[in-house]
Amino acid sequence: MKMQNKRNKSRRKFLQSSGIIGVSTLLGVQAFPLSSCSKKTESSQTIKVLTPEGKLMEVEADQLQEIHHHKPVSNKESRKGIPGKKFVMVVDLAKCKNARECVKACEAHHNLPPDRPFIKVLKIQDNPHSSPYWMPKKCFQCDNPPCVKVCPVGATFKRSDGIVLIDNQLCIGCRFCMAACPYSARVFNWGKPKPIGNSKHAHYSPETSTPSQVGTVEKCDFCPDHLREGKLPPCITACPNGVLYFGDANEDAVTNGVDTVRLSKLLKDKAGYRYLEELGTEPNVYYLPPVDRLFPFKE
Amino acid sequence: MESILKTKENQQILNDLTTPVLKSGRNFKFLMLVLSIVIALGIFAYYKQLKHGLIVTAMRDYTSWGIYISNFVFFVAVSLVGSLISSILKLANAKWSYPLTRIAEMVAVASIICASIIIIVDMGRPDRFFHVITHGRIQSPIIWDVIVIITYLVISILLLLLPLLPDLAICRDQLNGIPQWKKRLYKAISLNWKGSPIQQKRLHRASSILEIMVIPVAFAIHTITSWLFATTWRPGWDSTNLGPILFPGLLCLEQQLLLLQCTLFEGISTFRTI
Repeated sequence: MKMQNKRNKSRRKFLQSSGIIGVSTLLGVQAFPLSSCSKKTESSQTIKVLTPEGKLMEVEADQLQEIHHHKPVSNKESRKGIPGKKFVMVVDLAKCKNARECVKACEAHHNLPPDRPFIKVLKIQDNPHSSPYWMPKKCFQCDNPPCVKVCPVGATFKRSDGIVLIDNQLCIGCRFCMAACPYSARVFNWGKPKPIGNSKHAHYSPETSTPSQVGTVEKCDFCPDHLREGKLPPCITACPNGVLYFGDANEDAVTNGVDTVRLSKLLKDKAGYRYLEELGTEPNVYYLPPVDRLFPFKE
Repeated sequence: MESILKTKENQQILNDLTTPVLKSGRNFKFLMLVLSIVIALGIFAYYKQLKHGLIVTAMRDYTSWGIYISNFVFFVAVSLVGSLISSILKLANAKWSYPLTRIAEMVAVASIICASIIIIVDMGRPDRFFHVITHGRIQSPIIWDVIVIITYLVISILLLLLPLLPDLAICRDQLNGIPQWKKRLYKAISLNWKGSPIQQKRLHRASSILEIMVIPVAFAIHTITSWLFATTWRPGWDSTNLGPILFPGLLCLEQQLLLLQCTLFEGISTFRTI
């Protein structure tokens, strides 16, 4: 009985003390209202900004925050593709000098180590009597992609704008897609990827392919993050010889950053072809044969 | 059954039978030591692979499957030996093959377990293995492989366990002086086998159902594995012939392996004295 009394007492004491703490907390909040909010800025420096409606506004400088107009799209959104587009690339083999500027631009954009390039520039010699030529090879974004068919988890997918992407947060690293690809376009992160150097590479989206993850597959993705902003992929703009053309097959126009030409006319006039067309993979990258070259082949 | 067991002669036979379960020879211990070292080395190598990525395997983009998948095909091939010996030959009434059943089934279960482990070892992201279940695409041959390997594993374990039941019951009844947990284990896995006529009848029926069932599954596991390679564009693989080509090759392989297994077993076992 005595024990119980004691316990009751201590319980009452506890309730009392906790009540005091609660009340004092409430008082404290009232007495010192959120100090950071009410604080007036000492330096009332202002900045003029223009609204989308065309009004000129004045805002305090420290209230301003820089935002990126094009946020990386979500994994779900990146599966849909950019509406009404059908991206194609044309590679003019007559112009390629193996300057490797596209490879470097690609490395910088996707934060790739030099041993894992998305673009491979190969030396091709069709027969012993003909002159060799350089052939830049990237993912062909096939319309009938063998890699997408074999993926066991749906980590790689085909979009409405023709681009084949990889969601490296879903990829289990079985490398079946690499065995299925007849063009060896895909690369695997065998070891640890290059550390993130730029804040641009920090947020993952299948459209940017950065940051890379160990044990997953990657490949050339036609840089949909640039395309969403209406910009050309970095490899196109980096090429000093105008080898690479990029464009929309629905508009029937491609550009190498300098000239914009009609796609159907270009392919017809210069006898454009697609690599290993007989496999039925329907690639979206066309090659123009290495004829009428302006310079000799150099290693 | 109880009364038969009680005779003195039979008791002698039972003692001889259960002795190798309790006592193991020097060769056996040496073999186990060697195999344990091999397993320890394997675990260390896998730890290194988990730490640094698949780069430690020296596989690269153009040879992206390497020895892991070759091993997988080897183990899948060997696993068919169980169904061959305990099903096809039994259905064909080849009585000489009966003594081989147990070795064959052991090999089958062990190799199908190895095959499934090696697939996980080969994966770049083993932590995402469950994506196969949560995001599985039935169009992909890898999902067929997962399904057929699990099916074959279950059937192989049952084919091993069912004919083993009477012997497990003998172990449960005859072995004395073994630790308590071993006694409980024998009790659990002998599934209350008493050898009554109704149990005998049920065992016989279950075995014959499994023996027939395992044949299409064995065909499936071999053709799926071979046609998995045929879905790729690699020269030499890209052919519908790969299934029919691989199947006889694998049949030869597993027979040779069984022969090797029996020879080795004859060498190290103490059974020959009986």
